[in-house]
Amino acid sequence: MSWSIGSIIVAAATYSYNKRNDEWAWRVPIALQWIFPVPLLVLVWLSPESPWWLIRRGRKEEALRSIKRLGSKREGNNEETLAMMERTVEIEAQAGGAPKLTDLFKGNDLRRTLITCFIYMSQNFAGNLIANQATFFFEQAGISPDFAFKLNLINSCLQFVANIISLPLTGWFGRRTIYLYGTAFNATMLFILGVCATVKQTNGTNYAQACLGIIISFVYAGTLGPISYSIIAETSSVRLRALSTGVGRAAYYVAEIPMIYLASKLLNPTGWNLAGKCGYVWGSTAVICWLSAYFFLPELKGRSYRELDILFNRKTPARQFKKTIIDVKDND
Amino acid sequence: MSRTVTDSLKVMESFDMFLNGNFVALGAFQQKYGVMVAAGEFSIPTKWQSALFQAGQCGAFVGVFLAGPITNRIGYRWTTILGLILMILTIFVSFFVSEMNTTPQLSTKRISGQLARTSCSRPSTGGYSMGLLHRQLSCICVRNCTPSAPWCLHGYSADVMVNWFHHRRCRNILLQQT
Repeated sequence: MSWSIGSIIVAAATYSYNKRNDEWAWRVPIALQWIFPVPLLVLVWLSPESPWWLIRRGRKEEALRSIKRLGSKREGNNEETLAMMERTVEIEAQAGGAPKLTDLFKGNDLRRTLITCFIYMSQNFAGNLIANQATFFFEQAGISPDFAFKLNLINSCLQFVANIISLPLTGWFGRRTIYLYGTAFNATMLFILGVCATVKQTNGTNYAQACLGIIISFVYAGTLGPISYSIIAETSSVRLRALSTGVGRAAYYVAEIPMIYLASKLLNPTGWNLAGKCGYVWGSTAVICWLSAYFFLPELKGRSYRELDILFNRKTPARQFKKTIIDVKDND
Repeated sequence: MSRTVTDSLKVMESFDMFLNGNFVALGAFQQKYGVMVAAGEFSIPTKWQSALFQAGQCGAFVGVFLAGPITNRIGYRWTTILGLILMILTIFVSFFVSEMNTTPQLSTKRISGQLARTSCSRPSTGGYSMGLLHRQLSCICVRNCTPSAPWCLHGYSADVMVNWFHHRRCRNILLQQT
């Protein structure tokens, strides 16, 4: 959500300065970045240190002060909270401390790590990179610069709306369902986009390409984008969660960096200058994502962490997850 | 308050991320740092266009790994403060970098090509360190919620896309660890 708010601000700022033809066209938007860190600095300065960190460092009194500032107004509760945090830190230390990176690739956790990495990486393969440089895409599709910036602003606002829509959507439908339908829809749109750019180019096809670009990023922001984070949060085992998120994020960058080059090369006039025809490329990668998800992405919705542990332990195939019933007595 | 901070950090991160994307399409930016592709039409060369985006992501990649150790050492609060101070400084760099190359603007295609190379690379380095900081900051947000709490990474998903209703839960867990 905050993500789309940021992009709306950028879109608005660059739109209002896009007609200037001196360096202030980009310097003003850069300068606008200062509005964030300065007040934040003050806020962070005033906020207390995390009590967890303080306890791990053995700074008990400061931790108590932090808890008092963060926590409830009721007296007495704070000491209890502190005691409980201390106990948790102790138990953690007894359990062998922090899990190691290699733990991610052992036994059942390997499968869970791979799913996390796949979901993270696939964010780059379903046409999202068109949305990341939307304005440039619109221009290459034959839209005038001023209108391209306007469309970009509209696009950002629509993404915000899509993010809101995704909230009830995640409540109603399963993760796997949303992921598969979202990817299938976007793959189709991407191929249509390719076709639009291949037929004889008119004013009409230019607008069709721009509209398809907007639809694709709208669907992404309503389905694939937010659902990916739910899947990532639920797939890894609780113990390894912080680690697997980090590794997944790293995998995301490993996939994204060359893909950014490809995305730029596809659109740039000094590169292949393909405009909407890049839809064929991203459409194909989206199909690959869809197929992998169809065979390997389990349905996680409505399961407790314990149930998921059991399901992964039994090596249940992804497509059977939804049908498998775990009995209360099951404890394997 | 912690919610305001995490939300603003996210807004800030996406601001930085989408900014470069828009510059590539900006007429004045193309003319200054681009090469001529048709009469009167300029474009940023492919490699610099992708470099502009990649720089931030490379920085973020490093940031993912740096955030943990740094936070363990100096704590969440000081890591964030340090990050924010560095961020303010790097924005200075990107802001003033453009001033260095204003004179040879109306030169031939070749010179402007070279100009693109030197000048784009500088904002890129600025972008690199900013991406790094942003990622560090957002990792801290996540880590703030994560220590050994099961529900917390839901807070991360929330953080990125739908943060309002999970944040409260996240904070409660941070305090209560139920």
